[in-house]
Amino acid sequence: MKISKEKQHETRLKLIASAVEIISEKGFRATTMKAIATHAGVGVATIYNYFPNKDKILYAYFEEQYIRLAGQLDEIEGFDEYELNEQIQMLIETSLDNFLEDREFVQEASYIAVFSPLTSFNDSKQARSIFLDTAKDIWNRHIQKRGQETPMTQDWMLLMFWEYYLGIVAYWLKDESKSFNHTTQLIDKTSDIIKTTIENDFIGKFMDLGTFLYRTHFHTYLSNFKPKDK
Amino acid sequence: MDKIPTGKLSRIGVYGSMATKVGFNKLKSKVVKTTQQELDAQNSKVIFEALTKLRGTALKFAQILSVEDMMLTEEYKKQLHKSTYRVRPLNRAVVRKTIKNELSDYPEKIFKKFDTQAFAAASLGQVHKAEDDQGNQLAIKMQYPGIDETLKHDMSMIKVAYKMIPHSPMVEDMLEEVDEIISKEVDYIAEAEHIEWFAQKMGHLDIVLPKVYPDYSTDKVLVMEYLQGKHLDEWLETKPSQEVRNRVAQKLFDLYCYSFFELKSFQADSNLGNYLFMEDEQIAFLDFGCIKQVPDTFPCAVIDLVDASIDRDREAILEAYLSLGMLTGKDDEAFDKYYDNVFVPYSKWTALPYIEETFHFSIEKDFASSVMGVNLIMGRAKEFRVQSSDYVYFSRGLYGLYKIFEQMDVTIELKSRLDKYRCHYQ
Repeated sequence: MKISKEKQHETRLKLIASAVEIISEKGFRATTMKAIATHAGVGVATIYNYFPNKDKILYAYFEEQYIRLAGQLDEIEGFDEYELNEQIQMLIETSLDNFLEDREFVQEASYIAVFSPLTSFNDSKQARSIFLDTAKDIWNRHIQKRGQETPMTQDWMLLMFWEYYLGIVAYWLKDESKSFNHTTQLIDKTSDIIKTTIENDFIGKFMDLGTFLYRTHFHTYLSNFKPKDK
Repeated sequence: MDKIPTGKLSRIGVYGSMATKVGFNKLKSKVVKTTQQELDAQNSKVIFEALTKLRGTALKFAQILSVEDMMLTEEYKKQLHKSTYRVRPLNRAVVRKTIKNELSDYPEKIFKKFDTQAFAAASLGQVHKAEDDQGNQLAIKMQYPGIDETLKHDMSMIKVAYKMIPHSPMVEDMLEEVDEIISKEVDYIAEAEHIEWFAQKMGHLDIVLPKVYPDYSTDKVLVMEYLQGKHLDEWLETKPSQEVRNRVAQKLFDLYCYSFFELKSFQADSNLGNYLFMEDEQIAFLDFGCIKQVPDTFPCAVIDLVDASIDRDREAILEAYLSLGMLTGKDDEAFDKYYDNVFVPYSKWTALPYIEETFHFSIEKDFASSVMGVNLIMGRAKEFRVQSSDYVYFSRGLYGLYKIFEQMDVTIELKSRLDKYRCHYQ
């Protein structure tokens, strides 16, 4: 029997939700694939059709989160009119807000899926690129609005942004202030720096400076360099 | 966009640099002979910049002092006064989050319309316009997240910083109270209760108070009815006739008297932004963040002071100041010393509007502000301490009103009003 794509997606979500619940309660190590499947009402063999191991469920959780996030931002009225720092803050705050009900799970998952030295950069690639696509979209619309050019360093800067975002998530996970006000304030301040950096293309200017110094001095020095005759 | 330094460290940084700069300026005066006025101007600029950077507490503090005009020099006042108008808006992401935190959903889900741009600023928050499903126009006041948390820290820093500017023991006596007033200001539940209390007590009078929506309100978000009206400047631009201005001013004074003499409570943080001038000569009272309540005997003592001032009765004036808590009873010598250049002019200010049946504000140039020079001398005098700050707040409120009347250029009846309450008390 062929299962429809929708049905498949539904099962996938059910498995993720089930993993979130059990891992929040028992921790990642104590949770088995079998327990996740049983809790979701899915056959033990079936779960492996969806996820080869527990780690993959963690990544899938974040993928789904970021897909949802992109949709949520689209729904915000007048979002396009916002300043870049406001958009960045909205992006991150909304993401944290989505994490809120799964906070214990995110705590557990982030260590394994993100901060662990064993985490491979490639494993989190899918989730990261969904998140960064949204960020890139915001950035590009901003560039268009201001009539600027896309900086050569964009992709690299997006990766930096991902690291920044992870930092904020880590801070949030430790934040004990009321309504996570400290996190809000931290984002408020940092997003402003990002806005200034991007709008003034600080990175590009530094690279220009570097190139200039390289060309005019270092490169000349190298090309004039001759080994001493013996 | 400048941001408010909220982290403890960066705040200390701001205060620290402010103190260093002030210290440097003071030092400079020893080397180069700078006049006191120039020095004050430089110092006040530095302090003002630091204060506005901090917004929150510091700004509120600045506002209280600026209207108070207590013992600050002209230059300080000028800089501080600016603070009333120059406040940075909260960013829209923060606004959204605050609503979500407090009302458990995003603004667009709760209200039919929600303007993410604030239409009015408050020192510890800002006000947004919105509309609910029934089409009611709302004014939503919200405060910066975490502001309550930083209050305490700020105040203790201000107390340190305050020692560096020309000040008086009197103001120092009041710092605790300013502290208390500021912390009350961030409790919107209390504010909602104040509005309802005043609505109940003054509802039969010709006054407009915003309706509160308690279901939507928390201690950080206050949802009120949006009132259509003009602030004083805008209203005066519509060129209302002398008669209209007189009537409106009279009403304002009557309401203030009622609240003070009958209810023994008044708005302690009186500033222009608290009143809204509406159609049909109606006046709305807006801000109920800090309400000052005075003891039952207090209004009598105020009347006594006015009477003593009209009679220029030295003993009675001393008596009145004592019962108002403005003197401690151990300052007889100081009273004698400063009688001619403080208490005589102060009495003139106190008595003048109540001698004739009507008083024309602005006929005597800068009448309202004339008291400030006197305050300055008193403030600089090391001899005075206050026992209770009730009168300080009361006279500040009165000063605020007089300033408004001067701006309106009106003739109103004050004496008959006082007589009315005098009879009432005796």
